[in-house]
Amino acid sequence: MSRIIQLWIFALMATALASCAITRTETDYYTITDRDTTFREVSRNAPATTTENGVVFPSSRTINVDRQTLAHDSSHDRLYPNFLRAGGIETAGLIGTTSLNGMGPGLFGLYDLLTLDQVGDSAFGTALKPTNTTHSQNSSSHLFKGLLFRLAPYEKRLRWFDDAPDWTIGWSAVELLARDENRDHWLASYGTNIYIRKRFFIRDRIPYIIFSPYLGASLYPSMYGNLGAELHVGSLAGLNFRLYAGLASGFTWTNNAGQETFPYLGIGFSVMDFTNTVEETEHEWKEYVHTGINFNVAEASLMTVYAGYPSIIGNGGNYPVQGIQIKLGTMEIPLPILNYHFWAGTSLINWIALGNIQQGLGVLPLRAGYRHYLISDDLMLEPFIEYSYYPSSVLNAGIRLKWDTFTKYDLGLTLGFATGSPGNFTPSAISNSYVRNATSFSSVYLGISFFLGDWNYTPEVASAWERMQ
Amino acid sequence: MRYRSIIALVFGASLSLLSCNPYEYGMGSDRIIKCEILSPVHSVEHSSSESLIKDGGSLDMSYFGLTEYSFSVDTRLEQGDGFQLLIRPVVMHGVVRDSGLVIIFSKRGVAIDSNGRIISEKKYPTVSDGASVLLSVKSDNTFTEIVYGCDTVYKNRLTKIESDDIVFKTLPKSEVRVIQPEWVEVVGD
Repeated sequence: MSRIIQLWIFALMATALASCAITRTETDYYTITDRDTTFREVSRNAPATTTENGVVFPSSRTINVDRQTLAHDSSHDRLYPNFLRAGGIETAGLIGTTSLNGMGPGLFGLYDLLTLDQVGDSAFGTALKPTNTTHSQNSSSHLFKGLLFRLAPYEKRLRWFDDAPDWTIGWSAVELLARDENRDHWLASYGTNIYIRKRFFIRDRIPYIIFSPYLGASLYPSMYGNLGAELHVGSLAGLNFRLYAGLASGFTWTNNAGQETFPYLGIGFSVMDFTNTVEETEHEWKEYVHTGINFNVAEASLMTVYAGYPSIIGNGGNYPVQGIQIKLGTMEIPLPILNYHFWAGTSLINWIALGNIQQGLGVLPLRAGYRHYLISDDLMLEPFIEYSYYPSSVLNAGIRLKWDTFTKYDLGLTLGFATGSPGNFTPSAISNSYVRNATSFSSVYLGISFFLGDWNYTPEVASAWERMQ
Repeated sequence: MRYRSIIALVFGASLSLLSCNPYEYGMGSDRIIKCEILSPVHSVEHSSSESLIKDGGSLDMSYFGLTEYSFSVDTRLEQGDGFQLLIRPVVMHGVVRDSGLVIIFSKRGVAIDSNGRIISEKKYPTVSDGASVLLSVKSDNTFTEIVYGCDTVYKNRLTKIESDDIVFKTLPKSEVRVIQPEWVEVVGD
């Protein structure tokens, strides 16, 4: 494909993506006219007289009438959500895509992405690395042979067929349909994809249950069509569960593998992925229904670990900060206990390293806690407990002081205790400089946390949707 | 090659649907007036120069930011009794929040409604079937003048805020056609 065509494709997609702002602004414009009239009456009577002189010798009275008209414009912006779906990350493990042994990304295309099996075996083709050229396929067979991945999926209302209801049109920044471990069999799209979906609501209250047939097409780097249907449960605080069945067919411009056609069944999950009905897009943002008390794109913590482990910074160097914890795609849902101040939550990924080789990783860990406000809505104290069950087994409990700066960039201070074993997780999946086999850990720690893309809502606001059901 | 063409066709056709909104369109020649159908989409048929508002139809015309304007349009009653004209309404997100001043043109004359009360009723002018009649509205600060054909049906000062919207509604079982609207600013004296 020539560079000119590529440029055209990117220009077209840039135009399309520019319209995918999540907020629609409507501006009211009025002119208000104020009229004011001032009467100024001056009586110039002769000295020593205080009354009118009558009609025979009237006073020299003057009246000034001053009329003023002031017209001023008044404009007001109203902000509405402008999406039927706006998402963070969507992954799915695909079944039945190939006769090969498959890449084995695990349930939801997620659980086994960073495990020892996936990263440690040089002959193992995974999402992170290609198959060894001497091996045509992986050595062991997997149930989930392929992977579906979407970054920032977006859908808006499609108003065709005389505004027939519940049609959507959308795209994603990145889409990957990996058939198996052989990268020549992958179909990928960088921004150049578009999907039309029809929604059938099985449950029209939060969390929605929606059946959606879809037809999609992509241009580059793979040109393919994707026809199928999905059963979607969500979103609840940005969490979604999906089942897929479809058929993808296409080829990749940059390899000579020829046309790939494969059916697939999939089980998927997505985080920071929000679903609206058309009615929800007709209410202003200030009336938007929030289902979580916290949404967080990324959280990074630097920890002083009291067990004296060698620091992960500098690969075992002597630093005051020994540990790091990183969470991606975190959300918390208020529970109907103690006035909704108790919450339960999870993250897409939770990586905790108390030392250079003392590391663990949790996929969709279980987390619960209690939120107590100290100063207005700004400063909150949250005792919490968190359990990562796979691929590592880690129990982490503590108490956190969090400062909501209302800028989407917040700060926290955590005192906690973490204990666990790495299980099937290998730190070398995070970085090549890290060890392959981690060890168990157990220590008290003090951490300072930085929250990027952090939204906090009070339990009263976030539980309103439950009371409305 | 055929396969590539099909994919490209699906992609291109889908992309072209992005801006599709059957409730909104533009009308006019010199200045394009934004029209929004406030009723079911089939209640208004339209082209770039005229719109037919059917029974139960409601059409909002606006020119963003031009609140002091001189508006004119040819109107033709296709069937039924007549139509309503809403001056200085507040229209938000496809809903008329405040109807402003409502002028009711019918075969029985002209009535003026404000806040649900008829403040004026005249037997003339009347609306006739099939006759094209120029309707013009002038809104300049508090001054408002509405002329239907050769008859001034309203000329007074209004304390309502000036909006950049005008709404046409049909009376029950009526159809009215609005042709070649023009929306220009009022030149100050």
